[in-house]
Amino acid sequence: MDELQFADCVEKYADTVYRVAFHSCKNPADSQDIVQNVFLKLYRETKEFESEEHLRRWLLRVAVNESRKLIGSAWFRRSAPLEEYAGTLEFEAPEESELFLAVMALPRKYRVPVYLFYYEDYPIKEIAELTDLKESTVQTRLQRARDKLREKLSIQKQKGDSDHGTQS
Amino acid sequence: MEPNHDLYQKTFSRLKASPELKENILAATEQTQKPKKFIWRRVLAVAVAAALLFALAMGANAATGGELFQFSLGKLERVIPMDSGRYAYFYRNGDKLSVLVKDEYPHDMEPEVMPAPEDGQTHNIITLESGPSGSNDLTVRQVSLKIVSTAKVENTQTYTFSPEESVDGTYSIVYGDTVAIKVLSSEVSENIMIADVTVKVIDSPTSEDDSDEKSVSVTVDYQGSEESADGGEQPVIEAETE
Repeated sequence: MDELQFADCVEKYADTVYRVAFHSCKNPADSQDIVQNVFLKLYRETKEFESEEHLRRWLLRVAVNESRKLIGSAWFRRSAPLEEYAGTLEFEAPEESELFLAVMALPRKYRVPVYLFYYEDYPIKEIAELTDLKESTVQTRLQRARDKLREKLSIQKQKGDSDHGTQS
Repeated sequence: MEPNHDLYQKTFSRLKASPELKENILAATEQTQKPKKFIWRRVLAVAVAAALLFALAMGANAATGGELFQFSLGKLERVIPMDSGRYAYFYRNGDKLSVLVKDEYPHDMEPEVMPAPEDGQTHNIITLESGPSGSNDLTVRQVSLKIVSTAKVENTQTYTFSPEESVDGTYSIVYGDTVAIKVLSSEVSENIMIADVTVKVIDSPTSEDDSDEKSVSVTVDYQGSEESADGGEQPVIEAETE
């Protein structure tokens, strides 16, 4: 990969890697560090990628591993004001903001499989490969994450409805 | 409410790496040395460079009359005049004997008087096939030719190679013949050398015709560090006479 291809790759995939990192660590500063590490690895990688999809999977896999590594290290910044950060994302509808906060409220181990399933549209088998988990584990985590999200979003919806009713 | 793919993608598409982050990545990689890939083109370029360097070194060596590489070749042991009017410089470095062809006799060395052939004496009649001046292609590693008898050698004789023998044919040689030994290929591994040698009479005072049968290919297998059958340090090719 030459310099030009690398620059194109950063432009094309930096957001994807950032999203994986953010789902893992819920922290913009740590996510940026992870993105830097992933692309530094790509820069140093000498193997040729067979296809665009091969490159994409490689990046996702390295992003998952780098996130795990950072979370396990002493450099991990454990707290971050998520509501404040969500305010900078300029959501168009309240349900987007609610979904964002609900996903971020999930336990860490659920968040990356949820992202790969709902955002990247990967099937369970491929999520298992990307995250080094068993397919049954991925399935279980997705199911539990769905339950928790349903519960959380229903409560918020009910709360929103009642707030609306009180105002009217 | 359950999350669906569309809502999820719409929501998290707002989560983006900042332009500053992308710039930082590119800036960081500019300061990092990209690892070199192993490609044959690079190997070839290095080989060509090495060949050019070698040619340059050989040219420099030729320009200095072979003085440049004299040290690496070893100590100058003998200088033998060749039939081409040039001189074969024999260098010894341990067990290795190398030959360098030069146009001039060394100024600081007394001319070697070739002894007159006598019965029972060893007489070295090797004449190297001419190579370009300054070339050390004609390296004869521990191979010398010895005629045990100075009597005329007629008709079929058997060459005996010691200490390990392997003779592919027989050949007649007449005393006074000028013999060229050419090492076609050789492999040296520890003390064992396997050489494919061509022995050819290139000038014979007693024979007017140079027939094809005067050339023979032999394979020499021997252990260089072992003493040869006649007690000498070098393996010899003996011509046994009746």
